[in-house]
Amino acid sequence: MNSPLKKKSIIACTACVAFLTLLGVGAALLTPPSTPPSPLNASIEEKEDKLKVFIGDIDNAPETYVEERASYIKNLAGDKSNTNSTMKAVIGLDDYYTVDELTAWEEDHDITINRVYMWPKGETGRLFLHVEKGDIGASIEAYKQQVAENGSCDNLQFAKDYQRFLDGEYGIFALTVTATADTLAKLNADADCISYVDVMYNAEAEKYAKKVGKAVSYIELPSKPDGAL
Amino acid sequence: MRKLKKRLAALGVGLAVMATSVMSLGASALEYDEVWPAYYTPYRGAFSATKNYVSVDSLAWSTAQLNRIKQESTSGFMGVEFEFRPQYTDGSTWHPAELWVEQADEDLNGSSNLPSAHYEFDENDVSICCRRVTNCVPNTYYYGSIQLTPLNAGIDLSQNPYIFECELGIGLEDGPGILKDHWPLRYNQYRTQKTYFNRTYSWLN
Repeated sequence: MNSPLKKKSIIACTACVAFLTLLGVGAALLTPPSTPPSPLNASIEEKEDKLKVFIGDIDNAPETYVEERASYIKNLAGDKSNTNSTMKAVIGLDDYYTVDELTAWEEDHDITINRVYMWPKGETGRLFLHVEKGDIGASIEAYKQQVAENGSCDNLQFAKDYQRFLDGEYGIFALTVTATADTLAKLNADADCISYVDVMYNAEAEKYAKKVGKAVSYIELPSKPDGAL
Repeated sequence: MRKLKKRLAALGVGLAVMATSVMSLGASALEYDEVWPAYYTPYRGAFSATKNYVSVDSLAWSTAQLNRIKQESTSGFMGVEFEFRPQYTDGSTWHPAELWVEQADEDLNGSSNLPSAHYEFDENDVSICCRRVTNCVPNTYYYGSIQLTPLNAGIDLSQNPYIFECELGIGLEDGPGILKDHWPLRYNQYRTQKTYFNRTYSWLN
């Protein structure tokens, strides 16, 4: 029963099974643990504890993304249970607009602008500005006061850019808004100044995050009309 | 039989150790670089944090630094995050939401000339992020700032430390536009001694 041959066979078999198991464990561990399914079709980063979904990051999304999001909004608008509920969305504009132009545009549509993204056309960088009660002009004044109080102008490069902001060289290239699905769908279909509407919700990402036990974090990173970063 | 059992037991322990090593290898994707600045950390720059804002200033990468980062970006694109991790006076971690109004995304103001800049307000830190560091121009000065609102307007943070960190991550593309991950790869912390609020720190390598 305890012959050396049997012992060797048992050890060899055990070692073989163990080696194969180890290979399997190694392969499983060295492979990224979970890959979101491709239908997510979005700009997504998966971290250890969360799934970051970038909203408005059209430059890093598949070509079909804008169309798919438009059809998603259209479906939401067609669902009568959504008639009165509002949602947040990032709207990318087809050009850089002035505060006056955007203020007039906002008044003509049933939306509330929560944030504007501004920067000089064709240059790298962005200013994200919280818009209080849909009033872009008042929010810019509040921002100026905040900068003056916080002394951020000690930052030399910032001060240089900030002066250009004060001189009116910044244009608005994207917005974050709150509106009904119906309004968003209409804007997306009819408004000439809009390049894309990206609702701040990704059903597939939510489903996937739930499956892997992670939270979803939506990060606004709107692409610019001229491809600048 | 006893010998055989011992051998099998030893083999089992050995396998367990090996498996643990493999697990560690798989889990230890994030590596710490002790010497500041690491190759992905700007060779010069400044930063400061107060109860009202966090900011980075005069950040610059050399051509050699950016080329090295680009070499690593063949399977995706590289991003950096400048993290501010507030601490209590005893050095324990302070959840930013206990210090600042945990504003919904659109409630924050900020600006940056970094490529594809954005920010994060996480469990442990507030970060100024650059999603495309490979698009940075060598020896150009970059900055970023986030305006914050303290929960207690009268709070004095001058004796409170925080950790300032530069983290490098890679976005691994899984098909066009789909990132299967954005793994943090390496991180680098400014100084080993404490860094305090209400001061400006700068470096030039």
